[in-house]
Amino acid sequence: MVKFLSGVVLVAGMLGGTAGAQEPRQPFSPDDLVRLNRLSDPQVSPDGRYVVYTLRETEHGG
Amino acid sequence: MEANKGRTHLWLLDLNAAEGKPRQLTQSEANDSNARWAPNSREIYFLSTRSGSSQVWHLSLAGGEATQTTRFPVDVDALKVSPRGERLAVSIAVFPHCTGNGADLDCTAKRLEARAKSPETGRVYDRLFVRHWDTWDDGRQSHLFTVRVDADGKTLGAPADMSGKLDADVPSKPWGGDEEFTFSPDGAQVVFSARIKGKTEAWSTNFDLYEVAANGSGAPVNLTADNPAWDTQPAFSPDGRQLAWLAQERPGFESDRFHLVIRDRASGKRAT
Repeated sequence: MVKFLSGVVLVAGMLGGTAGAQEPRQPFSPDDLVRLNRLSDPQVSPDGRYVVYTLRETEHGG
Repeated sequence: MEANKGRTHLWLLDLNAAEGKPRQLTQSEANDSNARWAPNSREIYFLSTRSGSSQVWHLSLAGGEATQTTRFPVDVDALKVSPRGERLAVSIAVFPHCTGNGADLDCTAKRLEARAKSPETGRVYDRLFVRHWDTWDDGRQSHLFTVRVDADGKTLGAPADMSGKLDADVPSKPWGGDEEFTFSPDGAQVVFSARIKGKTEAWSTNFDLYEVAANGSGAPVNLTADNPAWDTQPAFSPDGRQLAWLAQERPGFESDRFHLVIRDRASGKRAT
C-alpha cells in the first residue's frame, strides 16, 4: 500500500511538472510508468529526526 | 547506468530542516536497500550487493564510506537491529541439513555451488510447497540468525541460528520480511512468527509466535499454541512487560481479519 501511494504521489508530481513547463504535451505512456522512481521502506530514526528510505530508479532503453 | 536495469539507493530526509531536501546516502553501482537504524540515530545498517552478494553494510551519517559488516558465504535477505545495537537479526536461506552444527553457512554455499555445476536439473518433491506464487522451493529454508556487532559495526563471532530447530521458513515465503521478528527491549530475547511446514504447510495458516534467547542458547518456545490460526508481527512494549501482535481466529482462512492482541508477559493476561 505504501508503495502504491508513493506511486500515485509521484505520478501527480510528474503530471503537474509537465503541465507547467513549455514542453509538448503527450499522454502518459507505459514508458513513463516504467521510468517512475519508486520509493519504499521508509524508516524513522529512533530520535525522530530523520527518515531513511529506498529509491528505485529505472533506466529503460528503447 | 545500463539500459533496462533498475537500481536501488538509500536517501535521507532531515525532518527538522525547514525546507528539507532529501540527500542521497549511497551511490554505489550495486543495489542498496533495507536501511535499519542503529539506536544512536547516527548510523545505519543496510543490505547491499556491492561485495557481489547481499550482505549487511554499516554507514555513519557523519560521513565516510560504508564498511562491510557481514561476510557470509551466502546472501542475507532480511535485517533488523536490536534496540541497544549489540546484535543484528538477519535471515538467510540455508539447506536444513546444513544447520544445527554451528550455523554452517559454508555447507549451504558449497551445496549451491555443486548444484550450479551439476548437469542434473531434476528435483524430487515429497511434500508441498513445490512453488508458492512465484517462488520455487529449491530445498532451502529461510532461517533467522543473530550475530553480535561492535560499536564500529563489525561482527563478533559466528551467527547463531534462532529458528533452525523448527521445520519452518522465518520469515515466511514468499513475502515475509523483518516485520515477522523482533527483539525484546533489552535485546536478550527474540520473538518470531513461524508456520511448521510438515506435510500440511500448503493449506495451513497456523503461524505461531516463538520466543528464543538471542544468544542462540535453548530452543524456541511457542507462545501462541492456544491459537490454531495465524499469529504474526510481534512487538514489545518499551518496558518489555507486554507483547503485542496480530492474530486471526479461523484456522486455514487466509483472508480472516487480523486483530490486535496484547499480552502481559508476567501474568499471561491478554487483551484483544
